[in-house]
Amino acid sequence: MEQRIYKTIRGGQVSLLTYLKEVWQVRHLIITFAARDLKVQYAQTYLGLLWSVIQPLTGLIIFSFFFQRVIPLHISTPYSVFVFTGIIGWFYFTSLVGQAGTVLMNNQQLIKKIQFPRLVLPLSKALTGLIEFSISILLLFALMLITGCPFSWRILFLPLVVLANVITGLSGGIWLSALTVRFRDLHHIIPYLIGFGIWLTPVFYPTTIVPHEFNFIYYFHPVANVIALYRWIFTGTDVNLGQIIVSFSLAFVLFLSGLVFFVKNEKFIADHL
Amino acid sequence: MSELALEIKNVSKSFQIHENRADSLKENIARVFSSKKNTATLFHALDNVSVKVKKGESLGIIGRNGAGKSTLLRILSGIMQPDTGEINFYGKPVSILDIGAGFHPELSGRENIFLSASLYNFTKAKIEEKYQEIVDFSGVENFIEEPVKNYSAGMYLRLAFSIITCLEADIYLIDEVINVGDANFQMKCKAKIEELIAQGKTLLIASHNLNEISTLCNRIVLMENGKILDIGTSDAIQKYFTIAIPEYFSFDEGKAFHLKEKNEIHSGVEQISILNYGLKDYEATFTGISNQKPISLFVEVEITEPVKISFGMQFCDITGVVAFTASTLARGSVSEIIEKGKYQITFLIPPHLLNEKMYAVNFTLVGEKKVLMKIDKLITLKISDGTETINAVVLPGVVKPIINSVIENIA
Repeated sequence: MEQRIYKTIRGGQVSLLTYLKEVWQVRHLIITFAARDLKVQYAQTYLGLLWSVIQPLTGLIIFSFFFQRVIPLHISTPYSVFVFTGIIGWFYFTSLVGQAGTVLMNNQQLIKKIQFPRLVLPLSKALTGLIEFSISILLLFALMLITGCPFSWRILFLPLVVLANVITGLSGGIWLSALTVRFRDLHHIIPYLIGFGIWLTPVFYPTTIVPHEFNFIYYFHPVANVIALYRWIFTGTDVNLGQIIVSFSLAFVLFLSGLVFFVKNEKFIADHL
Repeated sequence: MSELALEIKNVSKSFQIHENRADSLKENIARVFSSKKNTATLFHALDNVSVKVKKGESLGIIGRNGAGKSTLLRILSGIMQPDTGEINFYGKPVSILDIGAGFHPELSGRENIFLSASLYNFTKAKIEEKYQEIVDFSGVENFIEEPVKNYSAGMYLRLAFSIITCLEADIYLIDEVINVGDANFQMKCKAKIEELIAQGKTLLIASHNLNEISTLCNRIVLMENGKILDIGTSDAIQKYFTIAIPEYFSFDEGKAFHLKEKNEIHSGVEQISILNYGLKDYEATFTGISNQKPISLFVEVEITEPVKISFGMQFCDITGVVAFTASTLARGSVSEIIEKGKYQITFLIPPHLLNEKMYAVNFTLVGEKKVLMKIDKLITLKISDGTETINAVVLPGVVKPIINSVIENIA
């Protein structure tokens, strides 16, 4: 008598497509984890979610003071709007790299006890980041109203640029999360990368003040181009299409290879924790 | 042939153990440039394990720590992948490797119910349907909006367990969870498991406590070093268990008792040294020491200075449960002063008291109101009913006194 097999477990590789289907089936977990993290992070605080804007707001105040009063940078748009477009893009990116990169390590107990596609953990970080990002965007709108910056039709492109921001951040986050399980050193390296990275990224300065011979960097710097696109949307500054195409292709390749690497290593994650 | 619930076919799993685990990048980079070969050795956590579990069966997996029980359950639940081999499930499995898995201390009881249940793949509608049942079962309704970090350990366990009881599946994979919590909670766990068995569900329960699962499981797998040593009934396994688990006993097969090595023991009390110990009068067959006859155990000590002391022997079964304690201390009195000299202390165990199983005898020295020293497993005994066959039915229980019983026709 042949019995119907409900499920089979064997060693070996699953294809990326099969894996992504599995993730899709449990997509509710992405929301579950994101909701959990938000609740936990802001539980028992008086300001709650408002805390998520304190950090970009502090950045805004410090950069505005320094680059308007101490070392004035001359740019055509109000500096506060200029720097805040940089800050929101950079913060979303770094929170994805930092949080998605460490999410497997921070959920070891769960990973050892319950089976689910592990990719939902870094993906859930994209969602928590998006909530915090949205609050910052509201703050940006307020800044634009205060400083009298006009809103433009270009805002329709915002979702696409946010998507580019997410993919750029996740490409780093997914690679790092899979790698940190094997190489714990990376856990310590991530904050350094983020700390120094802001100097290589036009967050508080415009690319126009960077000497021309260094401009090639931006062909390999997707975050710089994400920020450039935010500025294009909100302040109407020019963008370099060549830089965008090259750097975004690079980010996409990193993202895809990160997914492949993650899926390939997923079966060893529990072994190494 | 009855229907199968799951089939484990030739499953192996090994881990690399590095002499110096190259957890850091530096070591991995250094390794590329160094001439030293990778010093990793393979540890076979599971070695060609095959088991068939029938539908409606409850199978126990027993073995000491590191025997491979947990690795097997992790593979069955999909948390780890086997290196080779295959597992077929003929029904929906659910694995309960931990009580309160996925709980977050900062979240409220209600939020944790939703979180934990969705990790077990409940849909939101399903959780809402089961929510009241879970809360009622847990008995923490008044605190359901409080963060679980403020719960007492007992409340926490009850809430976590009530989520598990609402899981619906055909095959339950359970790891050690029945050993947590207080006695009351354990009873509740066992009752729930018995209920599942009665419903005809298939169970796989891993434990290192043979007593616990011998009442729940009709077949038991004994694992050691990643291999299956034996599969059989609880009684059959009990015979091998003692051999396989030297932490509990070290025995040569066929020997009726074992004495701890003399160089391993110290009285722990300056004025007293232990000279000798063993069994005096007993009757043994191939199967062990007969419980049909009295058994006397003795310890000889030398006392160099007068000391206030009394002596005791604790009889424990292999799971560590104390069956009873024999003491030179008369009830209610205190230890008496014993003068300098050599003494022999004898304990006479009456017939028809010990059950047909293994006992470890711990020797205790008790001073003025406190235990000065406890020597674990000074003597270990294999007790039998005095017959030459092993296959007699062993009744559960740490002791086996003679209980008279009658069956009367009252019609």
